[in-house]
Amino acid sequence: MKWRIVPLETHGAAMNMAIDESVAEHIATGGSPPTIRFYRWKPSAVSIGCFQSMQDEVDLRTCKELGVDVVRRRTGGGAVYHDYDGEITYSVIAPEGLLPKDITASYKVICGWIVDALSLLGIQSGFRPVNDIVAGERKISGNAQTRRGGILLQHGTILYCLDVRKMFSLLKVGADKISDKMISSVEERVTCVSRLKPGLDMEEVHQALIRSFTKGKQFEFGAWKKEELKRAQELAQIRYGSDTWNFQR
Amino acid sequence: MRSGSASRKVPGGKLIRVQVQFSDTIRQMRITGDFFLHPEEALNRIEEAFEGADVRAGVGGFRSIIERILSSCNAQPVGFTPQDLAEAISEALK
Repeated sequence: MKWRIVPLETHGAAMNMAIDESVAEHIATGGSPPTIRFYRWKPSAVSIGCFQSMQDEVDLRTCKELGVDVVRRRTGGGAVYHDYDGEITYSVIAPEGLLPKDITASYKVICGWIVDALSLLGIQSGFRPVNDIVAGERKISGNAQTRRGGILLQHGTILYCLDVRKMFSLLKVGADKISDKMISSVEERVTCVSRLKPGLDMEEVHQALIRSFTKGKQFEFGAWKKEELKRAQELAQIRYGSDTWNFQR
Repeated sequence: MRSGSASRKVPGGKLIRVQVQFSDTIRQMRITGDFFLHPEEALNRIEEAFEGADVRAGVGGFRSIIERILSSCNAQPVGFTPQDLAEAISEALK
């Protein structure tokens, strides 16, 4: 059994989420292999967790002014700003049996691949349960997982270059979220590759991720099947591009 | 009919926000936050289970409802416990 690796590509928010769901469906029916993909978001977008309130989490007016898309993920977790120039997102989509049954253990395995990639780039980091990777005390990667129909989907971001002020103009970050960390400035919570290792370009980060995510695995580079893309386009329209889905909570 | 809300940031966990409409019983409840719940559908079941619940049930009573639903759905919360959610519900009803 070989993993399929789909290298860095770019889509809009709805299509990125739709590809995840379509590929999960096709893996469940045996039509596709376990898959790892890397992608960027264009236009830049905010994604929220499936249990979040769009109105509570996102400054919709600012998103509209800046041409930033919004989408609700199928995974839980928090609100994330996906800056086209600022991060690489990954998805791991595989039968549950390929990863630990325990949820925290499975996060630790996949997040471990990101920690390894950052180490290849000369950045020391570690997994912080539930679902973060931190360099020092600052978050450099957030991750979210869902398990449906025997298929595990985990996706997450690796922050390359962070415009903190822009990020927090798009997200409503309440005092109650950060109050227990006893810090006054939200800018102290996050960091990025370019701050820790100036001079690295995004392609170097991408290549490090491919190396670490494929380590120890049988794999081949591949592309989407016609039927995966067709279903993704359908899901982008009926689910991830619809207000009914995005504003349901 | 009254409305109430409460937010709770679970130490080492996630944020839960509860919004309720109630009189002597809970009419409607909405739970939001950046937590995880596997399977995700269990959250709707929890919200539905609280419709008609006595507001005087207290944290212990609320926790029992949550635990019953989690058990029936074989659901696992990540980032909060039934006690955390029960306390947030109780706070929202004040």
